[in-house]
Amino acid sequence: MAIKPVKVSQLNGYIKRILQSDPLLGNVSVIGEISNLKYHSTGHVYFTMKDENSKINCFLSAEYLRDLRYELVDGMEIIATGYIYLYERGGTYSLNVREIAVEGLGNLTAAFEKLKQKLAGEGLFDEKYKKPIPYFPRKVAVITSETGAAVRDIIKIIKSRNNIVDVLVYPCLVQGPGAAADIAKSIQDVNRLFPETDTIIVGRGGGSMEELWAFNEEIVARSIFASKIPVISAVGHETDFTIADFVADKRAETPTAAAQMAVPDIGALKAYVESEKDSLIHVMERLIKYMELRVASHNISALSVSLNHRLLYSAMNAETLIKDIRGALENRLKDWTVRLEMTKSGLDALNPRNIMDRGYAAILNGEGKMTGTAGGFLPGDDLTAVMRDGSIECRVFDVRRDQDAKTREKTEL
Amino acid sequence: MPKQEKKLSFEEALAGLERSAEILKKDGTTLEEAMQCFEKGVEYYRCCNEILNDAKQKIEFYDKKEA
Repeated sequence: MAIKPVKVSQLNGYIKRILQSDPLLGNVSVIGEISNLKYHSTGHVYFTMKDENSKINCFLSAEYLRDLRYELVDGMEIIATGYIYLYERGGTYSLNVREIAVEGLGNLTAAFEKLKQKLAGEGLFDEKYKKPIPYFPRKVAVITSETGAAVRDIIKIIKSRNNIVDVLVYPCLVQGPGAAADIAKSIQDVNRLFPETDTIIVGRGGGSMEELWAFNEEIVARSIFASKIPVISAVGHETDFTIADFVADKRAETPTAAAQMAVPDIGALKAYVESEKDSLIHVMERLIKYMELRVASHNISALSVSLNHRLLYSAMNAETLIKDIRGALENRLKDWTVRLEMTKSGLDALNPRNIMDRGYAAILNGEGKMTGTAGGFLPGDDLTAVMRDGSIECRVFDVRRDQDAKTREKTEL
Repeated sequence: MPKQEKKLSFEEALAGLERSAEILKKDGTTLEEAMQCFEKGVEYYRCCNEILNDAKQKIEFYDKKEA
């Protein structure tokens, strides 16, 4: 039965009603590989899903993107759940995605690597943000499943090491779709309700990558990063690395290791404190013994003996010095005596008295000076002749000068 | 002096004890200094011991429904 022609918009409107009222297409899950992944500035995501033979346009709104548990990567296989939507203006249809599941190691690893890169780029793993784990906590909060093996292990280890620290188990889901949100909220709750908590341990026992996935979700990473209380992550086994591990202040290989890391061994601490005290006492005793020895070595009789020795020595020293000085003085004196004698005999040789003893007289002129020359006198001058035993006042009658004395005078003139 | 005006944390008390032992081992401390150091060390030791023997551990499971 042919109907009369309809307008394009009418046709598209009709197709839309058919498509969108179909119960299967209203809630369909599709397996396929992502390609042409585009994050729009509005926050919505556009991509294509394909298999070997076919492809379909997909749309993921920003609202659902927020709840997405996986980072999307081109080439990754996903299971997208949503409904078929027809875009009337373009006459195209697409899968409006509400939820995406990712399975398989390869696909999960791709999502893991993408988130890891993203958060690393934001600096969430930077060493500078890592808070030190308190050495001697008074309260440790354990965020994990209350029925899991992890909580049992953690409590067992803590009790075996430490009977002081309080433990608060804060139960939460650790696997499944709601787990990540629950973990994130629990971390926030502990920060808010129990701010006195020194350390948080968040984690779970071992499992497959799917089972551990909650700890690879962004929401968990962000809440760990935001925690004011230092966080130790303890997820799975030694070989399991999760995003939570990278962002946590400290990663424990296992829940057991986390418990060991979180609390000190009180027994060992007691022993250490005792040994420190013993060493304190030991050193003090040794010091006192040493002081006693020093006091003993400085007793009074020993002191006076040594003082006497020193006195004696000083006296001897003084004596030697005096002897030396005396000797030096005597030598000097002898020296002086000899020189005096020599000077005296020299003077004696020159004494005019000695000549007078032999009969000579000294002639002094009127002024009482010895001129030693006849030329200085004129007839009528007075003179004095000094002799050995007295002097004679005389007057000159005549002056007779020696011939050669006159000549000598002439030549001198 | 750890005269307990403000409760020392275990870390502080232990660090004090270790420091006292270290200073005491050094050469050239006078008897006076050594005595003071020793007394301080003993005080720190008491403090450590008091904390280490305060075994009042509580282990509880938080009940989200009750809260």
